[in-house]
Amino acid sequence: MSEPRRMHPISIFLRMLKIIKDVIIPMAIGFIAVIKNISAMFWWLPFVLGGGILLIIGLFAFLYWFRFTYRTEDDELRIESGIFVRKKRYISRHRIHSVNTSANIFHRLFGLVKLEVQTAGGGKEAEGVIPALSKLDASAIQQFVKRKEQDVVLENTEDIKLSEHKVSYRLSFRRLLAAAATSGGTGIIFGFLFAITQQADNVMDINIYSFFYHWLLEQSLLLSILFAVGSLAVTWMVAMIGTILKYCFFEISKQGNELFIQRGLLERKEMTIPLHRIQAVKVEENIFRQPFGLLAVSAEIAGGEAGKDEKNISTVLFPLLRKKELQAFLEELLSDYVVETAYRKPPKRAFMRYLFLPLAISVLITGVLIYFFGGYGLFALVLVVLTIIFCVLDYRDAGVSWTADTLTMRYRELTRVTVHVHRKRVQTFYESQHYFQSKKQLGTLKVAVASGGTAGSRFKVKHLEEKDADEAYDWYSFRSQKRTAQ
Amino acid sequence: MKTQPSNRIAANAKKVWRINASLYMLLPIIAAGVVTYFQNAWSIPDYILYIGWAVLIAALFIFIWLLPAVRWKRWRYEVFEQEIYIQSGILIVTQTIVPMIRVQHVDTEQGPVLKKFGLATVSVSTAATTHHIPALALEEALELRDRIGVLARVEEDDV
Repeated sequence: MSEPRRMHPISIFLRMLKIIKDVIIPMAIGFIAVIKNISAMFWWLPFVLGGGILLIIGLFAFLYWFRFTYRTEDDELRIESGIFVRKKRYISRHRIHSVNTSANIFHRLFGLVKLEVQTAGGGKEAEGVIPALSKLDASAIQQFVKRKEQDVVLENTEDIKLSEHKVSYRLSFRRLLAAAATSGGTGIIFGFLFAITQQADNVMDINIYSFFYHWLLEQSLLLSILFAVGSLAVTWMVAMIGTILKYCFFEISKQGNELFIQRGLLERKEMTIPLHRIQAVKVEENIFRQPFGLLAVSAEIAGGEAGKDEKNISTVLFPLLRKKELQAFLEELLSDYVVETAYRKPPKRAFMRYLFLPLAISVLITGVLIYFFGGYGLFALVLVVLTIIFCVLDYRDAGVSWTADTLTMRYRELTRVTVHVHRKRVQTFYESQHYFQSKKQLGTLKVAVASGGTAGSRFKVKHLEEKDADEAYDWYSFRSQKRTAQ
Repeated sequence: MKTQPSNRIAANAKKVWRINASLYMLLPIIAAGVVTYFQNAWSIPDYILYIGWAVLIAALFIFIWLLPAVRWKRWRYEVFEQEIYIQSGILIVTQTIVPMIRVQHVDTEQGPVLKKFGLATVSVSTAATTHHIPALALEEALELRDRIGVLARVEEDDV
């Protein structure tokens, strides 16, 4: 495929949609201004204007398509684009870490995909993007990039035999429903609703809360409870649908030294993750899943823009597993992580440290609420009770453990998180102590791992026995290791 | 906590931090001055003015005198063949290990205040973090940068 190729013509249409999406708001404002000021005689003006603009957008989209070419030549993927400013981007295939494809509804109608090429460089966008090409061309590019690994692997035939063995895990429909039902996305939706009502507040110049509050007081207690339950159910359903769209037909498989993930109902995503890019494995048990022994597995991956659409930068390896399946899952797909370990937990005297700050904050909030709302503020006492329960859980779940080459940290932030990091994947190791901790011989551990762009991720376990923290520090330090070896 | 790393940063660091803190504190001082000047015009009661000035003076004392001293006392570092130890913090003291094989690049930088005192800051970056060793004598900073640069040139496993 060394001659330059253009994308599928449908990308003209896709490009138009994108431009329209970008300019729709200023355009609409301009239009309203025009319509307000024209006399009845020029009733046709908006239509002419609209048509003209559409024509211009179409022209630009056409030129964009016309000037966009890609080819593979001299071990490089060469993408040339730009209407006025020519941009030539040559990416050496030796520098390419992964080639991911995705397909939205329009792509799928025409059997096309969007292809994204990842290199080590951080940043929000992928280094090379081809917005629309046929599946055949996409797989040709994927093959072109893969060739390098075969060059290396050929030296060792045993590896090839191993890589032929393919493992795959598929998310069953029942699991999908269970994952959706327990996704815990409800909280996010609530946050979203809160933001919207805040906005409505500004725009409509009425206070939704006071309006709602008075309306609620007028209703009977039963009705308000029904209303609360109903709105909870609706938000829950919305969150559920979101999860289903995202994780429908989820499948992860391992081929050689790469993980291959496919997911999505309307928008299909295909992702390739080379095993050596995985920096840490994260097991999350949220409060809806933990009681049923269910969990989700994700990974921190260096470089690329994996999961840029979410706040969460880690990449989901599997949305829902049973606890007892986890070890087999990790063994088959990642091979070198051990799940079950004996944790070094914070001592009893650390409990006060876990309790103090959150309790102080929630008591303060409750105090303020009671001061302003009197009797109704007493409901805020529920907040205090919940805080205490979570502090107990935080304290009970925290712990660290390590083997010769892997560090495991467990902590809770509503969701119980267990992180497994290989020693050589830790970028920086921290041990810290403040005045109250030093009085009680406690210490906090933190590690930083590379993830996504440049910022990295950090994991922290608080208020451990100082002796344990020191030993972990020694475990990580090359210097103290050398000392014990002597 | 483990034993402290052996090297301190330059004693002039305290002066640099104090000058920087003073510059930052200029804004609240000016604000307080303006409020005092217009006290009658804006009909501000006396007690608010007194409280404001008391808070301001306490803040000046803490940010300009106390914190730089504590910060300097805590700040220590040591560079070994395979890793860099750093200890820093004011209320929370943190000991940090940065392994040489994870170091991606080292920089030195020098702002106007640092320059006046002949000091420079060494910044060490990994794939996930950046660590600043502030206020070393310029010679020492350049030497340290080169040394870390050489030590970090070891063949990497990955990442």
